[in-house]
Amino acid sequence: MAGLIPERWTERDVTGRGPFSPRQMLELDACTRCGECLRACDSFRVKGDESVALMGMIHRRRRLHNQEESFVGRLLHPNGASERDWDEFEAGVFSCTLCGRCEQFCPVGIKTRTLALTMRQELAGARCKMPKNLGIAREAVLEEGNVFQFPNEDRAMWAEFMDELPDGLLGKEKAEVLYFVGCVSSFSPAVQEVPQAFLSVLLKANVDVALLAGEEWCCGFPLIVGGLAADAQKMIDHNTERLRSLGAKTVVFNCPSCYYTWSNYYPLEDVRLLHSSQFIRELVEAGRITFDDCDLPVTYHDPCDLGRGMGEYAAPRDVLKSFAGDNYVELSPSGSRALCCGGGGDVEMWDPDLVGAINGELTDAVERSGAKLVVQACPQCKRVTQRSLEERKSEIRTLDITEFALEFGKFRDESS
Amino acid sequence: MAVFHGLSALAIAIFLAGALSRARFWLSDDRSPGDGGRRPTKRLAQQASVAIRFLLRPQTLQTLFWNGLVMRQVWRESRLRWLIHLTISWSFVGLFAVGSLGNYAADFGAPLEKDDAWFAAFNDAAALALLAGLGLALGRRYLTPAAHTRTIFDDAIVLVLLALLGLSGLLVEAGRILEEGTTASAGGYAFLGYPLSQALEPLDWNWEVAAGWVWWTHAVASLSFVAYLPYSKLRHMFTSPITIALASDKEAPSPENERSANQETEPWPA
Ligand code: HEM
Ligand code: SF4
Ligand code: SF4
Repeated sequence: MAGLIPERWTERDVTGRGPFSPRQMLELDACTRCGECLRACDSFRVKGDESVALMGMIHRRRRLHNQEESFVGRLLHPNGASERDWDEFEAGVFSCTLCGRCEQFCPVGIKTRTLALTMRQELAGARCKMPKNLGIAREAVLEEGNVFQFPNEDRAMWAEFMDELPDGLLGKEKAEVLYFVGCVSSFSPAVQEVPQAFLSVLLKANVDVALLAGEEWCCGFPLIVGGLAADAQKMIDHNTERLRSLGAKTVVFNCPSCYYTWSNYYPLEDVRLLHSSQFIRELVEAGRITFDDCDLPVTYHDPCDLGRGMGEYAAPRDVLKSFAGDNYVELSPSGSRALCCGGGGDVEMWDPDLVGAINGELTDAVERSGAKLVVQACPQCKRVTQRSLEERKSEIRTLDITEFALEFGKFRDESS
Repeated sequence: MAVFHGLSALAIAIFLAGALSRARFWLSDDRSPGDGGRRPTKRLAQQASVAIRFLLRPQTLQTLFWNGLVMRQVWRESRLRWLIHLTISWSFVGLFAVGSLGNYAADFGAPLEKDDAWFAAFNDAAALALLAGLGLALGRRYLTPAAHTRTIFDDAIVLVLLALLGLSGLLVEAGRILEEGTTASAGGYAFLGYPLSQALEPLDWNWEVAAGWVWWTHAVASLSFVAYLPYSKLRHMFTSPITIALASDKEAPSPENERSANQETEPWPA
């Protein structure tokens, strides 16, 4: 398993030499200060502080480097940069939701998301500088196997509330498909309908599916985006081992962050990984789900980790267009420049107000679109957006794509 | 001339020191896995070999061409910024290649005359483009800045140095015309330098002396520009095509790709 996560990322090193690659150092140098990333960044829009956007982070990191490494810097700062300078840098870096939107705006092609992630890696991994709640979440994941500090054996409680749960599903030892549920869907009451809906869809489609229940551990995403990639290895090893003993050749996810993490960090060349939207599109294409024509204006919001993260923009749109046809409306902006819901980058752990304020922009866009239903493909996006819409007393409904398929789809086996 | 050559050597030395310090910066944080035993020189050689292999791939060369020459990415993002770039960078390259190198070539016996119609017209057209581009850049930055525009001192130095270069270049031409005398018909090709010389003529200066001063102003501005380049944001003229090439290439060395790559053979930028 060694080597999956760059080894040097796992080193706890406080000598000042951090985990930036030469390419990333070049990127720090290549920033033209054009400010396009400020235009892209909703965290900056809310906070009005440049240090939360890439331009400011780059500027601060370069300054720290100059203070600590350059000849003049060392003369002026014999003890290195001050703790305050590092703290200010940390505050900015941990206010970024890692949505990656600025990457779509940067005219010189800086990989902003990876750069911001590496900054976290340097702060949290190499310097142990991180928000307090990230430290608590880290302990929770390492000790309990989930980010919420709940007993992990309660992970599949949402399934136990389902009426049509087949006997023996939870203890199944072999299956063709593993449904990896993820922490938010498993434990957050606000979105428990999402895994319930997806499991129902899988069962209606006669898929030989299993859950790991209490043996499912956090995929590692919250640690990786927190800058603690080394700690995620334990999760990766455990989940991979459980998958192998189940013998499944396909893993399905309703959470794009789990899907992203498995796709990028798990050593699985021979296993097919599918997001729920891709799985549902396959059912639509095979004629196993059909939708009646409808006159409900529907829109779709691209989750960051599914769209910009995994490049999947088409699958959910194909499903929705097969239902709504001309009543499907795009949000503006959408696709690769889609707005962030605010709930990414672990920021909700230490700054929930920022998350809500960021979401305001997305909710505005949804209201502007004229849609009566906004479909999302991420439990975290749904949780945050639903809350915002409720606060506004809006009549617009939010549904996850799995709930949408269950509510509006006709399953062939069911109807024939 | 000896003084000028001495100053040129100094400017180039400062440029090279800057370029080296940038290269050191790019490698300063690297600690590839298994590096413990490897000597820095060996590591540097390995990094350089990966970088060169990447830069020489046909796909990279293609992106460098489109972004270095016609600045496709800048065009996609803002037409005004593209116009500013095209006018400034092409005229700068043109003035440097034809104006400066042409002069050197003439010194070494090449059949080039500053009053040749094409030579004069080219120089003046390039200077006009440079000044127009700078005017747009100054206007965009200082008169009608967008909400996200942030200006620091370096921005002013870069623009002022370039403006000084262009204006003093025209003055050099005007001074030379006044010093050596050029007929109106020949001067017509120097469509900026000649009218400028006519406008300056009533000042009745000693043009042999004044032309010398103007020439030195131009020379010092050019050399300062060269020396300052790697320390200013203008170094992006070298780094941007590379970062764009890296971004447009899924297989370029990156932390993501590194996860599946063989770390021993692809250390850059592991
Ligand atoms: C692919 C190549 C290039 C890209 C992507 C690029 C991109 C940029 C960007 C994003 C800015 C910031 C604009 C701003 O300040 O608002 C900028 C500024 C500038 N660039 Fe480039 N650039 C490139 C090549 C060049 C070249 C070859 C030159 C030649 C001299 C040049 C000259 C300038 C100047 C003078 C500015 C400052 C303009 C101002 O202050 O408003 N660039 N460039
Ligand atoms: S990744 Fe998103 S939140 Fe972070 S700086 Fe870029 S636009 Fe802002
Ligand atoms: S968009 Fe890119 S080049 Fe422009 S300021 Fe942001 S990081 Fe720097």
